[in-house]
Amino acid sequence: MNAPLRISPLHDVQVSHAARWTQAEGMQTPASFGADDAAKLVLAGIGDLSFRRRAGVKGAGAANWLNALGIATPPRHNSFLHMDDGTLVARLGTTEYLIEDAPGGTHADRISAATPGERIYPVPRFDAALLIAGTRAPELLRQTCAFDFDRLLPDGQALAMTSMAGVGITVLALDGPAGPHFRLWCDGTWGGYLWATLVEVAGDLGGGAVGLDALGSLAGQHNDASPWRHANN
Amino acid sequence: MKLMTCPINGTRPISEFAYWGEIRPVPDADTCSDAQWADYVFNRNGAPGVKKEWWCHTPSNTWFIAERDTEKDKVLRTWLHGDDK
Amino acid sequence: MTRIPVMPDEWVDRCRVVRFRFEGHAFEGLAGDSIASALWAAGQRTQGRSFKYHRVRGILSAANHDVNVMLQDGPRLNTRGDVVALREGMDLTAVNTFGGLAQDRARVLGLFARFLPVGFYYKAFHSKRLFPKWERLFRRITGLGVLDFDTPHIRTPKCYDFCDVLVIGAGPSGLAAALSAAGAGASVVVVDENARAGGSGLFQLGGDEARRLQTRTLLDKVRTHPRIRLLEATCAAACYADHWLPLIDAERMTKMRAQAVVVAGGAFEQPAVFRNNDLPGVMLGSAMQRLIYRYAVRPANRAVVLTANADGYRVALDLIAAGAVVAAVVDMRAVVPSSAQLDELSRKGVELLAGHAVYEAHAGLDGELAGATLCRIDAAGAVVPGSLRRVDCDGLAMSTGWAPSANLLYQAGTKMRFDDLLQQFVPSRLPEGVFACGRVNGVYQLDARMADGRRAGAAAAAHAGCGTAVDITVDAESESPSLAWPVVAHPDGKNFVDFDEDLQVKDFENAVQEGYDNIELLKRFSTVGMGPSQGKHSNMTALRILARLTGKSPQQVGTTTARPFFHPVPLSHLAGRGFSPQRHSPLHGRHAALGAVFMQAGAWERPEYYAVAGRSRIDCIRAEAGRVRSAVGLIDVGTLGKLEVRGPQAAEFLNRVYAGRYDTMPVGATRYALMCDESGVMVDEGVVARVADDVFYFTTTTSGAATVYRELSRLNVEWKLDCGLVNLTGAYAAMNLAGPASRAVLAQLTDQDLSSQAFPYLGVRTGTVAGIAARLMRVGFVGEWGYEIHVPAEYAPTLWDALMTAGEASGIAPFGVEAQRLLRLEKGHLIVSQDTDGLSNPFEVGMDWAVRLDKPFFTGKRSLQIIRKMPLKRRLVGFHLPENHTGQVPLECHLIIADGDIAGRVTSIAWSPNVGRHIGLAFVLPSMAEPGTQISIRVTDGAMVQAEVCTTPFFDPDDLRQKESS
Repeated sequence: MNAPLRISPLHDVQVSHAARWTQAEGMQTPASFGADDAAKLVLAGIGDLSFRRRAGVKGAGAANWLNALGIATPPRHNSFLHMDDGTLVARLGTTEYLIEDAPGGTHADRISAATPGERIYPVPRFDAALLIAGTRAPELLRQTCAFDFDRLLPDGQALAMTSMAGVGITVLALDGPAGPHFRLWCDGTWGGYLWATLVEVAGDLGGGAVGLDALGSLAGQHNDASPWRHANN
Repeated sequence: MKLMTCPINGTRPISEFAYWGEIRPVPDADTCSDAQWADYVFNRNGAPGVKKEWWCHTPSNTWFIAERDTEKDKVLRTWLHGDDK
Repeated sequence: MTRIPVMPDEWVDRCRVVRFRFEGHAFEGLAGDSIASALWAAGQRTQGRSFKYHRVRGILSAANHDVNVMLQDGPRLNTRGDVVALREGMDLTAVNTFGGLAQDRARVLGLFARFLPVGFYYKAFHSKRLFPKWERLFRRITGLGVLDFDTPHIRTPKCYDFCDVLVIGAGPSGLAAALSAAGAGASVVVVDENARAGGSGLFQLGGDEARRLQTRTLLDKVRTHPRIRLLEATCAAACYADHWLPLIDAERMTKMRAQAVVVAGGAFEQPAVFRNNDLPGVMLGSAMQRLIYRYAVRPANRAVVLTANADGYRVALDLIAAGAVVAAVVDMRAVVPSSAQLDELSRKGVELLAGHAVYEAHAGLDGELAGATLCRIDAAGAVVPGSLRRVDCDGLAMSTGWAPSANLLYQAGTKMRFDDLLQQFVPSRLPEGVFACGRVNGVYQLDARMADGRRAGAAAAAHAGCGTAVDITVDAESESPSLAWPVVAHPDGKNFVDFDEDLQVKDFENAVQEGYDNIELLKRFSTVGMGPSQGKHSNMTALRILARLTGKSPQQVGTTTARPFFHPVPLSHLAGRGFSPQRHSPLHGRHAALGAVFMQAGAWERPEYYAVAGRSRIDCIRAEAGRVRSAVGLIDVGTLGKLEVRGPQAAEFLNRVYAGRYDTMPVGATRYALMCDESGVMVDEGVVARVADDVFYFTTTTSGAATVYRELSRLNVEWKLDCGLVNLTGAYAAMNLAGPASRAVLAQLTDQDLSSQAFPYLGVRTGTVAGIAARLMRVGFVGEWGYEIHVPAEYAPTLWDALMTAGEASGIAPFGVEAQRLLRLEKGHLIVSQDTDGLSNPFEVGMDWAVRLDKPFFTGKRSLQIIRKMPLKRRLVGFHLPENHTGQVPLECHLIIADGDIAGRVTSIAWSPNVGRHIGLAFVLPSMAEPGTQISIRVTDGAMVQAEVCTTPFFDPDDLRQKESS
């Protein structure tokens, strides 16, 4: 049987705003919210990266287990790394890990299928996964979150678990050719509210929701040739 | 807003934390009298002073112990359960 | 008019004329003017009326330390004319008049002053009987402006900000502190409530250009320093715990978190107290200097300067520099220290009087200042008889003393002491990370203020982890900046202490005579310091008067509590953007499309019922329930808490946290789970499913999901059992397919054997439904054959659609929370926290079967052992109304009355179509728990409704509908 279509946790809040849809990693996701997506992205763009495949695991045995599966783990707590193939590995606290595949990656599926051993507790992840970019992104963050994001910037490998607009999030800062931007994850059931709130605040700052097409390389991290865009053509 | 320091996640506004209560010795359920047990369950020491309490950093669900001077309204130190020994 | 040639640091832009209206007349000012400075420059000295006696008022402080000039600008209320910047097109009216500023009909109130004695409000409001009458009167005569209810909604986003060192006040000491802190490596934010930085360093000059340049140099360095952000027109409005300060600017509030705070807010100049000290033209010396150097306005043409410190001599020189004639400098001190300023004034031929005071000020025909009577005073401050002399003047500067702007220091917890030499309260013990410098710290001379700033800045930076504190000697003051007794008695009074509240010296005398001789009592009785300027120009003088009247020192009298905010903050700033987090099931869109009416359930929005056109709410609910009984229904139960515990000691963990027993449960089975707290009270419930030997999947109530997971996590940390807990609440969706046709519907979508033998009641199986990996549980909460299906959240809509399609032929319909409540009530199932409360134990609700006291330990066990031994205080029972009941129907929480006393309460009630009567659950006295007992329920209007206790379940008592028909 073919795998059924994945639905983004943000689908319900996007459905009446999206201009065009596409499929990425088997998930229906907005390709565009309108002609000004690219312009909004320059100021304060909010993107939906929920489609990226994720897996989680925690417990004292988690790091060794992941290493045996060929997943590198960050040495420090509350930090992250990118594997050569673009996989994002985030260490949440001391013994919990979030693995997010690069487009086309298969680590998440392998982890979910593997049998956990002693003190290894799988954490299924169906987060709302957001991207915040643009010159006014810091202002947007300061309006919604009491965390000092400057603390994430200097070494570039730290992540924080904090509260944004009343919702618990995991957040990290990335630097890329398109400038610094932020990735954040929250429980999918809070996602619609957080998305709507951030899009509203971004609107005040000249930005707003941005579809996958305009996100370009931002959505893929280390992968500039975005495979899902071809799938859309 | 006051600040609290999570041993793992660092110093954050108190709104990111949940307070559980003071850590108190539990009477031996097998040997204590009903009155001793009721005293443990229902009575709390409200006198100001240095207290050890359970706190949770809610975005990360990290539980830890805070030693707090409730008279001076000051957090003295925080640590993970078990790290104190 | 009175605009003078260009001043070097003036705020006004002479190229930009601003047109505005005041009291219906057209005026012109310059960009950069305050409203008051523009009016003053245009010769309009009468700018407002006082609150109580409606006396004409002009500029007093020009610094927002008084509200003489309180204006309304269209819909904008509380416009403080002495500091609010002039804008093109303003249409201003003075707020406290009847029929306009010039012809205010209420000005006669001054004549009836003896009928408005001190403590008038206090006494008027004392009697409850008269309160409404007084309230109506006061609301009419004392309103500060007129509300426009059509004012457009404005959005003022709040934001957070961070810095190492926050410096409050950008005068000489604050600027020096900022540079010193930034030099040590700290990130620094400097805020100043004024439109432009520089503080007194740019206007208290005494005609000395070198003083200005010193401040200018500091300011230029601050502006260009890479680690300093200078925020002008921004007020640090309060100081909260751990260095959290709301910064208020015209647009919004910024919540600043600093590592260290330097308070360099300076001092408020205090009015001298003499008869008619409130006439337009009488103003603080510093106000005159602000007019001159900020707005290039000559405050007066011919001025008298009343002084008692070095500042007054500089005021006189600044007035001369602005082209005014100084008729006399009147020094209240018997001996005046020699100074360059004194010599300079002497050379210029200004009359210098020591040991003199102003006895009274005189109004001209326009009610504004026209002259003053001077007098000699003795060492005690008493007027020497026969020494009176009149001087013509249109300006009178008061420079007799200061009060520290210590509000934020007090809020931070600073201990202050009264320094007799300085005649000022100064910090004696500062809280950790809070520093003070400059005049608020009792340092007045310019060089000393800068040195004090460097010291405080370095110390603050060191506290924030940058550099080390440095030892800087700050020179002591050579003379006192404040006079101990700046009050001149006058038999006819009108010598004002508090200009907001029109309080005169005799009001304090009367208050003390009536026994209000403590500073806090005096404040409440007299209302001193309770006006809009919150005592900035009045508290210190009131304190001095009280000290003298009671024979105490100012230290003994003490100060009143300084509360937020320092200046009033617009409510729109405080409201800002609110965040109300909402949790939505992944099926939310499906519910909305089906017409769901949502209800709030904790953080969730859940379908209460699905609306059908032309059908009432209750009919919709009954139809949904009916469909479940007759065919099949589908409900979203994904809001339940969903947890997994895994590991060798997972069963032990559950045994400890729930009252039941789980180690003996076979794989593939589920069991009800009841959670109690340490006192034995029921706090949550759910179902535990053993999906593998060492893996349990279990649910909690919707409302308990977050707290239960959090508490179980804590217990796992405390107990250190070999198991791990995972929260799947958001990651998994769940729906309950229930009804006689549920099996047939599900069978179309799964290969799972659904026979009773392969998948019995209370079993759990893993399999696929519609191609989606799922956990299935056979449940019976609503009393039908049914399946709870749990799947990853991202497939939930797909599964929902598949089930709805598969059920179409069977007549499937979604049902909401209300229908589920009715269905479970028919089965007599209680809901924890609806049918139980914060005192309910399992025994009184008939849940003995869910409690295993034979286990070694579980939370609440010891308390339940005690409760078990005691007689029950109440019982939860089923009841029904007579079949033919037609009258009022009781509601939840209606009381059960027996012998005139409360005997219980209704916890659930509904009309059951299947039973054919109203059924419910209620707490009753144990003596009333026998089926057949008649109970009386008191409904809202006090009437009694009869009901009968009965057995439960009300419907299908033998659970036949959940069993395979044989």
